[in-house]
Amino acid sequence: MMRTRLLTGLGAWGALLWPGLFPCVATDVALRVVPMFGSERLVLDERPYITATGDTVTVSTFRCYLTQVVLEFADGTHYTEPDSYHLLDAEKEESWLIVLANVPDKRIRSLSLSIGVDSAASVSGALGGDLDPILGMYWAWNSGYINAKIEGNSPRCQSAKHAFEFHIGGFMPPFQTLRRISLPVDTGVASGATLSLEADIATWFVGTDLATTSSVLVPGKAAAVMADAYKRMLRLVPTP
Amino acid sequence: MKNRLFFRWILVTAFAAAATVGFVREWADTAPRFVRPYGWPKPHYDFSKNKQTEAGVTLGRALFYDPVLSRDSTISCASCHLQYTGFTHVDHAVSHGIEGRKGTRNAPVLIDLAWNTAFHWDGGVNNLEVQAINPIEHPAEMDNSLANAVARLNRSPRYKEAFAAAFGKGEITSQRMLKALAQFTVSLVSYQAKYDKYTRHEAGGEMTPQEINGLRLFRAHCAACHQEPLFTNNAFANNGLPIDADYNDLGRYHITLNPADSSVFKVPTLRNIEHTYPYMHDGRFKKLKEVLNHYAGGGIHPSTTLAPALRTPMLLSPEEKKDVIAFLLTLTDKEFLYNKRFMPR
Repeated sequence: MMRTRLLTGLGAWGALLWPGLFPCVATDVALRVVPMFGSERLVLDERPYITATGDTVTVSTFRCYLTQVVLEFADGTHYTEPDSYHLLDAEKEESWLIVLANVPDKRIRSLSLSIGVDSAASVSGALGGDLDPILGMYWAWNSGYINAKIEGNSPRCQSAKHAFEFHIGGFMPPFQTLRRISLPVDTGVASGATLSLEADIATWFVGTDLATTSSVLVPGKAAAVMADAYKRMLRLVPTP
Repeated sequence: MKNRLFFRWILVTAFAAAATVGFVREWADTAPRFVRPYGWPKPHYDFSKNKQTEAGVTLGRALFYDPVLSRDSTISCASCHLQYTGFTHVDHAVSHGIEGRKGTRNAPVLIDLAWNTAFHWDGGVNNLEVQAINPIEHPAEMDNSLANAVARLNRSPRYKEAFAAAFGKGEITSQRMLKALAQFTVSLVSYQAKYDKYTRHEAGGEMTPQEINGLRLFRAHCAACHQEPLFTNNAFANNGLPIDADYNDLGRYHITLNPADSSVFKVPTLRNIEHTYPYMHDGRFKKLKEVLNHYAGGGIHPSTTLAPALRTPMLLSPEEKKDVIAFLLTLTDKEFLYNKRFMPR
């Protein structure tokens, strides 16, 4: 008798508390990031593109870290992705898709994320996954991650083989290169949908004259200037 | 009564058996461990993210002595970091990597690394675990790629087994390799020198009057940078060496690009200094006498970034210099230099 009553009581409380304790109305949200050059899809190596200043460039490598992803909902609450470090690589299409797991099923008001790796991960020793130093995005001699890199060629470059190399990183003041961006999400985009983004690397060349600057390979002022330029590379677009 | 005695006998036997097993295990355990000597500051290394285990340290030691990490499998970490000389490259101003390629800086000692806040003469490396990527990939050292080194280990059944024992099943990753190496190198703590026994009032710590006077002079003239008990303040300084035109090495400036860091280098520990010659970041001095003459014999090269502590001349008589050297020799720790647990199996 006693036991039955106890069980009933627990059941009743459980039923009352269940939705609050376990918000099972969660879903996955996918971010799909497509590398672009201006309004065209980025094709590595073969296709020449024209920069805003009229220079012809071909691109052989484009990689960047997208990290600390946060969704803000219409009701003012947030979803913060745990352990949020993603390496986007133009060469690997599977890296263009970031799946955020267990996101509350609410209307999304904005998406914010960082381009680059934060200082915490930069001082934490040997890391794995997308932060594995094996991936060519780590500076061993001056500990820290390359936040973003592009490499390619342009007749405008005065360097050997007309090559340009921009490896942008550095987390120490005064030349930090981590850039935080926030993108408002249209009212039409609901949770559960895919958020489509374009990463437009034409932005990298704005404000840099390839004739005088064909490589940035160390942390410093030039790196910070370029990070300010490519900070504008991400844009939300309607999902096709 | 008889029953009770029997029960007691069982207990005693069980206890003795357990004690014996414990004893045997203690002897089977030949891996070194990190120790924090009494009175020393808290280590800087974060052990919570890389707990030392016997299997992990043993694996790290195997990697340290294995030339498999270098591109042509000819040199290991130990090629330039020899235990008998405080884990540095004795008699080499700068070390040579594969194919005899020469570097530009003197190989540093691997002593008390858990307290180091930065690594390399320029302090460019901020964590012990990621330091090892540098010698593996540097063209003048092992000239390998991290990816290739890890791929090689993955092809070795022996290493697959050792990594599984240390970190559990799964692929050998750069993270696991680097953490294993750090588990070993962080164990290299030197704290049994005559000086240490002297400060702890232990047997074997009896200093001569000359050594005691040397310690007094050392504390007055050198300890601003070479602070006890680590004999470094973990800072960077321009110690008044003129720039070597062959290397044109501006030290920490190459990392920070800050003009105030020009010709500024890491303050090294002085432990086991008797055996770690040649001295300075480029190994330009072969003898301690030359080092003392640099600091206290008019060798200081003036510059805008010169360490403030060296701006006023260090006045030491020839006898006093000898006393300081006599003291420096008390930093030799034979138990460290000949510790069997640090040696390859």
